[in-house]
Amino acid sequence: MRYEERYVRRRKIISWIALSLSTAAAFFGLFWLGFILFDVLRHGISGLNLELFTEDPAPPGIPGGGLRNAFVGQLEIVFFAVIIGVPVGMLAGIFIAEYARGTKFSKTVSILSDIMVSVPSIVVGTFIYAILVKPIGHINLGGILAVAFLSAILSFLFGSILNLFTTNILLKIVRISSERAVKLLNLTTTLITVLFGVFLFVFLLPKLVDKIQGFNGWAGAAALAFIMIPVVLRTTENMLSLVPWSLREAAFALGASYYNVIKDVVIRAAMTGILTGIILSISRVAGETAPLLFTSFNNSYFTTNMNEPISSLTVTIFVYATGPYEDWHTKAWAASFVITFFILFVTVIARYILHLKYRG
Amino acid sequence: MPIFVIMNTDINQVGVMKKIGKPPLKDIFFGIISFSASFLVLTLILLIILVLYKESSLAIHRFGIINFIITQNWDPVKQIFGAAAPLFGTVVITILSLTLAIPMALGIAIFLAEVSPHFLKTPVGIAIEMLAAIPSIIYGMWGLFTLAPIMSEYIEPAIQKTLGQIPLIGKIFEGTPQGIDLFTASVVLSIMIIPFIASVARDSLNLTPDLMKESAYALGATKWDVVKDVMIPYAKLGIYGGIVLALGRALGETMAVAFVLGNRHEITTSLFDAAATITVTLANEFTEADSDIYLSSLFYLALILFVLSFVILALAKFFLLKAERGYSR
Amino acid sequence: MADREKIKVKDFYFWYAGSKDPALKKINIPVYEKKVTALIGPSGCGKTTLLRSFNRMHDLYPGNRYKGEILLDGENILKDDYDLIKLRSKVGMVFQKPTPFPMSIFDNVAYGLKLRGIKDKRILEEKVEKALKQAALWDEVKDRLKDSASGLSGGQQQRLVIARALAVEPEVLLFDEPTSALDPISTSKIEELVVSLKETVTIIIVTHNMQQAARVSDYTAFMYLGELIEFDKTDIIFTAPKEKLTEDYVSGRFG
Repeated sequence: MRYEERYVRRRKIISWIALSLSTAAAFFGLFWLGFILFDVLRHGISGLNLELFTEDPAPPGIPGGGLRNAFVGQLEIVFFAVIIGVPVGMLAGIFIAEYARGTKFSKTVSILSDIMVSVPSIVVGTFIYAILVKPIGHINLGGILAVAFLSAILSFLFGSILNLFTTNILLKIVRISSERAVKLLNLTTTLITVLFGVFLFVFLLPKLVDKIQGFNGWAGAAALAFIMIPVVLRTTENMLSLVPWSLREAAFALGASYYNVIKDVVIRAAMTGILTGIILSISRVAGETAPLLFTSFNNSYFTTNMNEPISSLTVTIFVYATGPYEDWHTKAWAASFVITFFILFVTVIARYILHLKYRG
Repeated sequence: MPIFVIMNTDINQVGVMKKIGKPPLKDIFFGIISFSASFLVLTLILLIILVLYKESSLAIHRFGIINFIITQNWDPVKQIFGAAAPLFGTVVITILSLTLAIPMALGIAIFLAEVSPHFLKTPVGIAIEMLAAIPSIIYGMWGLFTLAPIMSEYIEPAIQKTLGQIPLIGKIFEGTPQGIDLFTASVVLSIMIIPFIASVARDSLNLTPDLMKESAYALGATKWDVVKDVMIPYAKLGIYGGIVLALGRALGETMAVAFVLGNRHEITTSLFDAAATITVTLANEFTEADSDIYLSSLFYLALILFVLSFVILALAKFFLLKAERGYSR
Repeated sequence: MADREKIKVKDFYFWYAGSKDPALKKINIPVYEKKVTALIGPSGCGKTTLLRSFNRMHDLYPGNRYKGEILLDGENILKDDYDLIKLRSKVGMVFQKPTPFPMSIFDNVAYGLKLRGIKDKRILEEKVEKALKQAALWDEVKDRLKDSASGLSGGQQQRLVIARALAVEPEVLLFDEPTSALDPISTSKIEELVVSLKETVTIIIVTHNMQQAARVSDYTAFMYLGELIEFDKTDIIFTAPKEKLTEDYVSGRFG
């Protein structure tokens, strides 16, 4: 009995030590976070001024100037990455969560995209280089894809507005009661929408996309889109599967087609989650550097032409930080500050929304 | 949205009739579009392997597979390329950073799952996840400007004075501490992967049913007994999955190590030497490759890295899926 | 009535974290040594809450509060400096669902012994065998002690958990609806087991099932809305209760 009590005491001491160590580990982790954030803040704030956003870089070695080219380039690349990545990821996620729910195909896609999420991003860069940078003189598939999706999205918006107009204004003035007339009206609006999209594509394509002449912004956008697609796909799939099946059944019972069930019921129920997931994926690609190194490359001049090399914040940070000038280092810190706090801000907000909506 | 209103009235009137025949046109149309999107994802995986293989075939034919892996030379002038040095660097950094990160991450996971008072759980959890959200280039910057000087001035000399004095072990801490070396790179990388392991491990530990923990406490177990004997065995597969996931991440990480590793194609015995990894080599040399065989060799490196990380990530996925199935039972 | 009081609950109140109203109000109840005491009442009446107070399970969650006394052999277990590990090795517990740990059958039963510092393999084997025999499980598992415990059926798992609790030779054993997740055959086996165990330990059992309480217990306490309505010998509670509420409940008129 004495022995037992001694042993129990020893166990209590061991428990105390082990748990203290784990607490120490947690605070050690917090310490790094604090250390890094504090450092970025300390160095970054001194380099922060209005010129950083409004002026282009001064020639190397000469102090002054800003990083306007990088900020604009970054926004442009990320914008087109979103234009390509979000529709593809969402559509694919909808397909495997709805039409192909529970099939082998959807499991395969889901597992493969989980793996794709973590594939080294620099490998993605080399892959995009091989298809969108190296074949000089070929057509730029990345650019065509981006413009196609841009036209599709714009015409979708146009169609929605057109519908808004017909239902709210036109139908109030002209009373249409027959089912055939409603169908005809629907058909007309659809047709106008499609034509608008095609027209937009034909109009924009020659203006925006050129043949490949080396490093170009489209390639950068494509590389980031490649990284976004699996993230958006998995988020969409997860959020859709959280919508209870009974909700779909209720809609089917009204005689709705699956397309309408998805569009009117399922997506609406899961919208907050999907949108938050998309925002998180944007904040993730916004910090990516490796896939841009040899796709959109770098440009010390201001440009919005996606057929040329385009400067991005992250690549600029890499070049400036490893460069020889003190002024460059300050600018790299300032850019780091902007990008870090932007990403952390967005992440925390998005997570908070998810937490509110799904409680965990 | 009113766009749906028209369609809905439409459905209310005729939808039921449509259900009997073949699927409505909208479904066929939308089904095809969404299917092509998901098919594109499959194609991309296949395409990346095919393209990388095609681009590296020149180097594969010139240097072979085994030969390429064991050759240490990386000589753009003589056009002889071998992957031994960057592979070595990749493996060393991955192992070292995991060794540093795993105990720390498990400690954090245990703290979050069972030790922390309730009011601290969410803020500490969010803080750890914020560590994961910081872009890797920031880790690199911080490593170069802040950590490397600390390393070369204080930590590395201190290690040399203590551990470095032991024969044999001392060998891995030889040389002048520069701060730009394998050791610093591993430390930066370990800080970066801690949150990946910690959050997966915490989620797995949290899956232990309360009743299970209570019955261990009811037998007179201490908190640590419950963690060690019930929760960790219960969460084992999930923890493995998290570790292997982090392994995959560590293998493919570029920017966090590119700043603090140098780019030196040599196999060294000291952790205080500059070295190269596959990713760092790619980041530094890809745009400078001036001959076909040089570029092809770089693609070859990328292919090796892709295959390696694909296999490892598939393994991680396998563990996590198995763990999930185990819990749901 | 020469039964000795093993546990005495005196003016006991209990509050869950963050709640102003007590979940248990002024409970006074004796628990007699080597007898089976059943706690019955509609769900939400506080019977499980009371049961979990006997080994201070509520202490696992911060914010829960007690008032009053629970005397175990005359010593108040609610005192701040009372050693919980000591308490829990005297007062064992079996839960609603079987909770085999992720280890082998043998290690499951030996776990509590190992926690007490017993490392001698012979003693362990001896005690594990004894506990498994007491729990009427030995014949079914003696050839596969090294197998994982999750391979056993639900009823076997529950008896394994009982063996695990018995192995450390507790003085009191708490059962929290031990058969609610089991089929009728396993249930009757567990009930037989409970009756046979009272030769060695004092038993408190919470149950939904009034027939079960009537079959296994010597004393019964009827609780309602956090209060003890009536406590008496089981046959009196079920045949001639003094309170109208008790009568309504045992005759199935509500709950």
